[in-house]
Amino acid sequence: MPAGQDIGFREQYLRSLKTRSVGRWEWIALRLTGVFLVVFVLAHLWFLHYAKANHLSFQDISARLQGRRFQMLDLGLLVLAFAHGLAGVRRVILDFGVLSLGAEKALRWVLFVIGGVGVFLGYRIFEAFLGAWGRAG
Amino acid sequence: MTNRNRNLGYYMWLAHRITGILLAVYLFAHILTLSAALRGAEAFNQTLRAFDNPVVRAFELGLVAIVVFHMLNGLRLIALDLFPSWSQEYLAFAVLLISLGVIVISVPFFF
Repeated sequence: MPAGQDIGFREQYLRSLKTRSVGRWEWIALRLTGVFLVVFVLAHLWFLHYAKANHLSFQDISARLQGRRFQMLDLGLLVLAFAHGLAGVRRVILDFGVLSLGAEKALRWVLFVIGGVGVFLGYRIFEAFLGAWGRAG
Repeated sequence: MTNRNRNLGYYMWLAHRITGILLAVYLFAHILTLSAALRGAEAFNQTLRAFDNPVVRAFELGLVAIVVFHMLNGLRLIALDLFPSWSQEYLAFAVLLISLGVIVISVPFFF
């Protein structure tokens, strides 16, 4: 690149990625989960916060979650949100500077464990809503 | 990442990062508050009632703003990957305008 040529910030950033360890699969995974999240998050916001504006209760959520589609919506959202969020956090951390290969592997595992805990806790909450209905009905 | 060009694209990139980090933090906060459900229906409804005030609703509206911006800007980034010839600036302005529109339309849902 000739000195002083303005290649634009985006082009510069994309080029810098090629010299670092942000893998191709990670690039695609972040985008794929992002596209799915657009649909899932919009549905989540609409059904929980717009369509029933501020009239939520444990019983409402429990009843709604008996539907197969809502179960898939919530579980899909849970996994996608943690995957996308932690992959994004990883990318931001890597952008601060090149880590050693060992540190990078360690980071991946730390984020994987954090995500696992988050999804596990989310699933327990999901079960609490499902189970309560079984006991009540 | 030295010698950054401080153009609109840079600020959109920065905003995408900041909103992304905020959303990741919120994701954990969201799961933690929802975990009141593990202590039973009454504990959960009590938590909901505690959150039912103007301050939290303003916070939620801000959250919607962050989500919508991050969502639209993410779609803009994908569009630029797929169609590099599209104007980055026009798309950026579209993202900002639509985000603003959604926030304004959302106000009556929260207050």
